[in-house]
Formats: sequence, structure tokens, C-alpha cells
Amino acid sequence: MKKALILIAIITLFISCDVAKKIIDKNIPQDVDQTQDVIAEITGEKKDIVVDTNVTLLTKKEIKKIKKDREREDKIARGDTLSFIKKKYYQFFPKREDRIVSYPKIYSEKPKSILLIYPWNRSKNQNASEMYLINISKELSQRGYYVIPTMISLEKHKQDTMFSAKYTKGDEVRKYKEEFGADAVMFVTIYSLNKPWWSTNINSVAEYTLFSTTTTDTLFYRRADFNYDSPIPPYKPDKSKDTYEMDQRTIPLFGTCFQMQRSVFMDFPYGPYHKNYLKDQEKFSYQREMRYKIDARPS
Amino acid sequence: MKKLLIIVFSLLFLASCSNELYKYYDYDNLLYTYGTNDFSEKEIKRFSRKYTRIVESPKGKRKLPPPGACAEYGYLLYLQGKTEEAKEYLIKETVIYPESQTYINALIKSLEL
Repeated sequence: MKKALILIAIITLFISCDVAKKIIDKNIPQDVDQTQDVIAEITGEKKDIVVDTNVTLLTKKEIKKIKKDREREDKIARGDTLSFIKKKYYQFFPKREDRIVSYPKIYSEKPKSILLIYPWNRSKNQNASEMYLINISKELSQRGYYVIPTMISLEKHKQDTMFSAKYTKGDEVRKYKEEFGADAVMFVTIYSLNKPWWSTNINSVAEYTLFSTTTTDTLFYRRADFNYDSPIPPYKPDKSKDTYEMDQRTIPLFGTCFQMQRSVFMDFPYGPYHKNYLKDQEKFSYQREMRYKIDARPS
Repeated sequence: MKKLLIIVFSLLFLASCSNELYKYYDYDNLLYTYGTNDFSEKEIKRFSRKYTRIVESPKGKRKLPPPGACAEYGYLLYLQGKTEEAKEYLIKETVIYPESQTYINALIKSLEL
């Protein structure tokens, strides 16, 4: 009997010890190996964070359904809610949009003066920036806006005291209100202006963004892809006696640039010096991305 | 025959009308040459002589020099050392285009006129 009691006592002791050990292991925090952290601190490298993930296997049908849902959500987020047939229809017969719908902020903010930042030239043509700057300033002036003198901007850029559109960010435009008194600033990026030797076509691609200097909102945006393919020169230089002569190779490029600005700003709302100022709100406007081709090759 | 003549004359008349607010003359050539070349003092004199037409004989619908033309001409005069005339033209710019006030004032200050 005594032996049995001793045996039971020993067994209960063992069991209680095991339970106590388990409780202690659970509650006492275990030592974490910190060597990886120390190495990461010294080398400055980020330590890989391991995240536990539950992998659930889906059937093909479920995967397809999830993909479709995600695509639909993306489309709605992009504002692309048209069906395929409607989309194709509008591609060939674009929907007419009034200027007040396309450029509501120009009509609400009513900018009077525009500063042209020296364009960022990403084309292979060295003088593309000058061609764009001159033609855009002329076009905007003719539409009734006051454009900050281009020649002085050119001179400042030559002296390296004025940045080009490459180095200026959209949210930094407020300073131009104080410095130049401009109500809006235009940034232009030129992607191409070239005429391949095997073709008569001249291609020019550029992106235009007009920012407000008071609210930093985008007032106007356009990406234009312009092609001029015609034996008729796109531009007639002034042939008065007392003037400089433009290089014969430059004339077609300059002319294409001139024609391009004509079409890009064709739907730009009129400025305060134009008689149609604020009267053109219900006139047509082009799409934000514009493709324009003048093809008048002889048959 | 009469009708044809009327049509021809009306077409010619319409062709002669331009909707342009300002007349730029050879501004393109001038500015392109200025932008792509480094001018000596002598060249600037020649350049400003050619530029005079844009400022002095304005045409177009508004019959005024285009925006920035007076300021640019004033700047050219400044480069030739004609400071008083330069200031006159810069002020003329602010009179024609009041929006240019901030810019021209800063320019006058920086050129120490």
C-alpha cells in the first residue's frame, strides 16, 4: 500500500512538473536571435520581413471571376464605363464637347497673362525649343492673351538664369505669380520634330500643360501628334529686304511647328483682348489627346 | 458674267480680311535668329533696327504692338546703352498691357534703369 502511495505521489509530481514547465515556456518570452538586426543596422540594408500567408487554392472558374471583377473595378476607377461598340463608335465619330465642359477652370479663373517656360526638348532637333517657343507665344497672343516677352525668356535661358520645363515641377508654379505676375504657366515637352530623308512627312509630337499660378490646378492639357505631308510648304517666311534669312532646311520644320500650334490652340478659349472673350463657351473642343494629319500629296 | 464677277470680288475681299489681332511682320525670323545665335554689339544694333517696324508701325485688328514687343524693343535699346529710351518703351508696355506691370517693374529693377 505504502509503495502504491509513493508511486502515485511520484507520478503526480512528474505530471505537475510537466504542466508547470509548459506554463513557464508559454509565459516567459523566448530569446530572439538579434544578430540579423545588428547586421542590418551596421550595413544599412533592410531586413526581409516574413509575413505569414494563408494559401488557398482556387478553382479556374473562381480565378476567372476574380480577374473579371478586378478588371471591371479598374475600368470604373479609370472612368472608362463605355461598352466596346460605343467606344469604337466614338473613336470614329467623336462626341462633341463644349469648351466650358473641357476647360471649365479657364472660364472660372480667367487668366490674362501666360508665362511660357523654355520647352523641354526630348527630340533630336537642337532648335526645336526655340521654334516651339516663338510659335506658341504668337498663337496665344493672337488668341487674346498677354504672353510674357519671349525674347527676354530666351536671353535668360541663354544666360542660364531661367530653368527649362525639365527642371520645373508643376507645384512650384506659385512663385511665378510673384516673380512675373503671370496668371498661368505653360510647360511644353517636345518628343519629336523630324523629317526622315526617305519621306516627305514631317512629324511632331508634343505635350502641353497649362497650370494656374493661384491654385496650381491644371487649366489645359493636350498631347498632340501632328503630321504634315504635302509638297506645299507649311510656312511662308517674310521676304522683305531688311530681314534675316532662315535656313532652307529649317523652314519646313518651323512651318510644321507653326501649323501644329494653329491646330493645337484652335479650341483654346479666347483671352481678354479678343472680342469673343467668354463668348465661346459653347463652341467645339478637341480631345485631350489629338492626332492631326495634313496629307496633301499629289496623286 | 455679273454674278461671277461679284463672287470673285467677294472672295478676294474675304481673302484680304484677316482675323489676326496683331501684325508680326518678320518676328519669327528675327527671334529665331536671336535665339539660335550669339549676337555681338554691332549685330544687336542691326537687329533692333529691323525690330523697329514691329513696334513703330503696328497693324492688325487692335492697331497696337503685339504683347511683349515694346518690352523686347526696350531691352534691345538697353543692350545698346540707350537707357532712357529703353525705360520709355518698358513703361509703354505697362500702359498698353497693364498685366505686365509686375514683370516690367522687376525688369526695370534688375536692369537698374
